[in-house]
Amino acid sequence: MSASSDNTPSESDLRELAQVPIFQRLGARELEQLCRIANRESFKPNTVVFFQGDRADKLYVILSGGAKVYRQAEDGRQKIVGTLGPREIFGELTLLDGRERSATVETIAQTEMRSVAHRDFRAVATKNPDILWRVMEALCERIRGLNEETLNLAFEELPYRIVQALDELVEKRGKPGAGGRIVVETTPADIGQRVGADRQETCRVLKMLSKRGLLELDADEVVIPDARALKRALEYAHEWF
Amino acid sequence: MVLVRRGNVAAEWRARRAGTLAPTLLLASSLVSSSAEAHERFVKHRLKTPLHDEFFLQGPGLMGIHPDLLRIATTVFTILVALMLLWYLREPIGETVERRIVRRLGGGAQQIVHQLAGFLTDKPVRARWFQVLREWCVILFLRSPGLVLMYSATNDSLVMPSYPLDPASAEIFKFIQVGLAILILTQTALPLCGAMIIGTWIYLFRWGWMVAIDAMPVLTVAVVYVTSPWQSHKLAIIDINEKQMRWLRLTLGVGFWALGWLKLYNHDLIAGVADSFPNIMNDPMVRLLKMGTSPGWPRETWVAAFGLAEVMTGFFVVVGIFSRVWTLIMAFVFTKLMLVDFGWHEIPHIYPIAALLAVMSSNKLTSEFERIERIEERLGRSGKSLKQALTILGASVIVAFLVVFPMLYATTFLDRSKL
Repeated sequence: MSASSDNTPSESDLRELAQVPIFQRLGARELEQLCRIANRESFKPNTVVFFQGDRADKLYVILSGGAKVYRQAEDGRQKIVGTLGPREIFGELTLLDGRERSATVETIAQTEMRSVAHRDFRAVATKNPDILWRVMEALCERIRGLNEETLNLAFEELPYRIVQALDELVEKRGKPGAGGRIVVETTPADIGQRVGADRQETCRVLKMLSKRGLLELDADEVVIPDARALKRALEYAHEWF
Repeated sequence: MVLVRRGNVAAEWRARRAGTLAPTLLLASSLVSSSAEAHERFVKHRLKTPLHDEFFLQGPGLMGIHPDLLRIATTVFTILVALMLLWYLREPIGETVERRIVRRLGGGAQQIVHQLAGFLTDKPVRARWFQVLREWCVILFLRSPGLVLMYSATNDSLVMPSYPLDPASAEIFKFIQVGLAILILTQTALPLCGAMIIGTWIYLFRWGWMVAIDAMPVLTVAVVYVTSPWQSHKLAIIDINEKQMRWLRLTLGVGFWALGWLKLYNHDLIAGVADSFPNIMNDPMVRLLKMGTSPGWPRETWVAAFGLAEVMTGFFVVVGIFSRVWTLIMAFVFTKLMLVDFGWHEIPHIYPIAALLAVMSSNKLTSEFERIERIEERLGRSGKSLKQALTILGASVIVAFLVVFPMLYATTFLDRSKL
């Protein structure tokens, strides 16, 4: 973890921030100002950035790597509510309501971030209200995602939810493998946490999908031979039950 | 339309419930009148040599308080201020520790340290093992009074051997105690059980207020019983809700706070216990509070330190500051007293121990200082750091002063000749 301490930010630093959607409409001067107040932080894989219930005082922007967002029940069970990738922001909810963190954010790979203290962010946003519109856009996207998830949990069977989760993983975390395959580093437990199912039930459905040739299971990764076939499977996953 | 109807039903239900509880309480009070004939501490408490009464009364020191007593009170005041400051600063301290040290560990180690920090600062500990522990503690807490009642029925006493039953009415009260114990152990009609316990306590208060203060921890379980559903026998009660936990904490804390002042008032009793069991004088917290006092009057300073330690502990539990740490310490102290110092006769202390464990394992702890914390947090967020620091410091100093000194000053005027 290191903070950018020099007064004049480098060209690459400015470019990095300018690529983040919420800062895209900022002028060079504002970007420079933002660069000065945004600390660069580096996280190892599987490191928690903040925990659910923590007091919130920062907004984060992912520069590289990724993180999962999850909520924990009283008995420690986790429900993954989202995955974040480069140029995405998190920690914006508490910026608006001032309450404690609503979920835990944990890195899934070596991750570089920029963190801005809420106080500093407010100062920048007061001068450039457009930033707040972008923050609201990010929030709206999250609300839409949660709405869809609620609908899926209420009306869709487990195979559909798992195929959908895999499709999302392919889009966000998929790495190209040999012969057009897509490799996703994940485990049945991780997939189960995304769809709200236990490990046993998730493994059963994954094996069924494997038999249908939609995926190949490995120790800590899932290989998708044909990503388009997986997407098409969403159309007939209802019929598997 | 629907809302109105629902409201009416709720109001009707509340009225019906209140209508059932009030006569139950009265009935319970009348049932237990004349139950205990005399109170004497079951633990031996004969004074070997009299205490110097002037230590506890108005004398030549500042405000008429003995210098050693004042020194102990000042130490308690300092600890109160320090721990309240630590409480207000727990978030920034925790954050610094997590960022500078724990994040480097990552993975499981980070989760373990976070859980430990959550435990120490009364935050929810989200882990399977903690949930299992909580469930077990709640079951023990809800049932232990039943075990105690069974034990006392076989010892011709009311709840504790300290309160022997009048031989003329002992038989009927033993039946009542066993009946109540069966209801508790089978979790049947818990509101009735709660009302009977509260009724007994009200009777004890009428009979002797010092005895009632001694028995205050039993009210903690009564609070939970009274607020349980009448169909309790059909339910698996394995958690205590936030409202119940707040009342449990308040009752428990007020009990210890009052017991602490009672030790200073009725100092001969606790000094007598120490004369009979000198081991109990070897307590690390009491030693800390006694630091710097003159060695001439060790028993007097011990009584004062012990009493004020209980006042301090009770206060922290009442306001919900480091509740888990304090209840864990107290559970340890009580268990040690029961198993090591006094022996198995003190087994009825299992119910305050269970109450302490129920608080310690709860994930629904609140603090009475949340309003001050919100002000402090708002000031911090708006960058008013000096105002924030002054608010924290001012609130801590004022509260700590009010907790210790006015009451201590008042106790130096109390007449103990009729004790």
